[in-house]
Amino acid sequence: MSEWSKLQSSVSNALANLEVEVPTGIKLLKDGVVPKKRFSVYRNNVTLSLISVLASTYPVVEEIVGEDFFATMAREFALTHLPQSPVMINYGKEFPDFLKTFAPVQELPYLSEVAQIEWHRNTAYHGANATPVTIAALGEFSEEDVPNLEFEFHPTVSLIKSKYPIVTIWQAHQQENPSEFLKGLNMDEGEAALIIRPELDVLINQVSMGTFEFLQSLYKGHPFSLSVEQAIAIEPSFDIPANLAGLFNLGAVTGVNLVRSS
Amino acid sequence: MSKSTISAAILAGAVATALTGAAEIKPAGAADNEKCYGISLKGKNDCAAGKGTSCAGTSTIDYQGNAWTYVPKGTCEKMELPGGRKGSLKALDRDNG
Amino acid sequence: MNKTSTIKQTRLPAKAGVGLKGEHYQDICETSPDIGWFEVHPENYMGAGGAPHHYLTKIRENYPLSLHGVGLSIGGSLPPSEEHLSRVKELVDRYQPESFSEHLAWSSHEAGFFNDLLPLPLTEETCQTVSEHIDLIQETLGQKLLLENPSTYVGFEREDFTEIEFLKEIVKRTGCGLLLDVNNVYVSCTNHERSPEDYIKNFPMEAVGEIHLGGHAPDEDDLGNPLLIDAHDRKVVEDVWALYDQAISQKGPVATLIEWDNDVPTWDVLFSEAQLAEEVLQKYESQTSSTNAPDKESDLKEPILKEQVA
Repeated sequence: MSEWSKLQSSVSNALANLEVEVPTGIKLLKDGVVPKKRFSVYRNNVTLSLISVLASTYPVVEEIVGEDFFATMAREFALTHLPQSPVMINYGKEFPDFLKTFAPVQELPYLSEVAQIEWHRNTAYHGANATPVTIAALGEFSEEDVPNLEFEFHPTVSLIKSKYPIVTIWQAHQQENPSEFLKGLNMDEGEAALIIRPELDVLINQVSMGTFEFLQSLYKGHPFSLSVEQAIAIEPSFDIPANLAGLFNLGAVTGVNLVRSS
Repeated sequence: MSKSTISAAILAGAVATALTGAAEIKPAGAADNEKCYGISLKGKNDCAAGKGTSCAGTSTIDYQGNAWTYVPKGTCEKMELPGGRKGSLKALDRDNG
Repeated sequence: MNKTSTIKQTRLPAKAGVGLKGEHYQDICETSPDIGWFEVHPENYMGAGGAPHHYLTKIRENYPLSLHGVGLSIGGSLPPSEEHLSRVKELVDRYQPESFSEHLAWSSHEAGFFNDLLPLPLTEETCQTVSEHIDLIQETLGQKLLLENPSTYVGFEREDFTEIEFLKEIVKRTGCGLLLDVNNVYVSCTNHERSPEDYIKNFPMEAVGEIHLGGHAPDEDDLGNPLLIDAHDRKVVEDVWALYDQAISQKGPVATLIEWDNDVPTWDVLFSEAQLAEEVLQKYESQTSSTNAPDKESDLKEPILKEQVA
């Protein structure tokens, strides 16, 4: 191992390990004073810059727990999940899972799924562009073909469901006064969302549980008929035309294909 | 393949209704959205030092023993969970963990 | 290897530019400001689509563009990540920037990416590895790299070169150019008790293809001595403007960037900061003969890559 490689390892170890003060090889100050404060500029820059990346991806989580707590929690995450790529728009994917097991937030069981909305939002924002088809695409198929249609989704689409009202919680934090918006919220009511970025802006659409089943089934590649059945199974009043119109209207469908069953 | 419980005619009828544009729209899309993500999202990589990078205290003191006496002080305090659980947390002492 | 392609030279105009921030996309698209060029970090455009590419494409149609990397870890002992280099290559091919630059620093090691520009000892060994890394990057991108002098807060026990000697040696070995960050000169010289005026005086100006200016935050080190932090969160200080004036008086007008990454101000504030640099450039533009005109830049004798000779 080269000299620089060894030194670099000891510097990187000191950056992520707060018990190591200043690695050997760093020049001492006058009278042999160890440059702790100088070295800590680097260490703090590493942690603070990663905390700031997480805060910009997870602003609602930050508001829910408060800035100070978020910073402490994010630091704990950052030091155990150092980025594996220099592309910071992709950093923090594991943060929602981290929240699930991080002891100090176990009494906020909705937190991880609110974070999941924020992660999907981030990936949708940077996701690939695609050209949606209009609902007229459905008009090209005969009655007997309709049950076997499969839908292709826009690459920025994602679906999320929770037993907590995570979409309302997320929405509340887009308001001037989230607390006012949250007043009287029934925390026992589950919610689901369709996240998509049809053009430049990410849309977070709250959907009913029936719609969620319908979309998730289509998204998995199941045919139209099976997807409708799954929706109706949990939501008997499921409105098929309204959901089709809504889906195409959002720009969520990029293709409709007939899959012939043998 | 299991037999479909919903007929092709019903599905085709629904498609026809949707095609007329007469259907209600669900999910309603943009109009339902409170605030867009903002096309002005800031870049996440930069080549500058962050705020307060020279304050050693900000990143070390938190780790000493009483780290998690920090209590979340955000909007979680307004969200009460069923069963009387509060949305906010009591202080946890990390050393007890 | 038989490379027939030539390395593209830096072609930025000798004007003031600014770092392009998402916060200003709309202002820029709506008002088409009279500014020389824009610079972005390629890492912020490594998503597949959406707003960043939409706006960068629009802005790039009307302005010269510089890509200023922060992720290749040129100063590390390990070679730049192939995956990352190919992402950079994709952006260079897509946006055809007038300049590509990176830092004399490292940010990745075995454990991962540290998201900071970390210091390296200036030794014979690192001179060799940095040169190899720059050779690889220039070959891959087909574009000349400008290497930026760093802001540093610590020194190393063992070093074989001064920073200027080191940079000169790298230029000699690789044919790369230099990005002179005047704020970094001021920050590092203050932090290590050196004279920033002497640093500028001795800097190999013939290799400079771009200058950076930015703000820094004052602090103190363990002994109570001044410690400046390269924070890019405020206006350029008077002392740095004076050094910039000195640099341009030596070099003649050259593309100059205002960097403002934290506490990003309104577009108007950033634009007027760039105007201050533009005034200095114009002052020397009218004083110097046409031999210093920016288009002469490409006539400078540039070493070519070894492979090209084949």
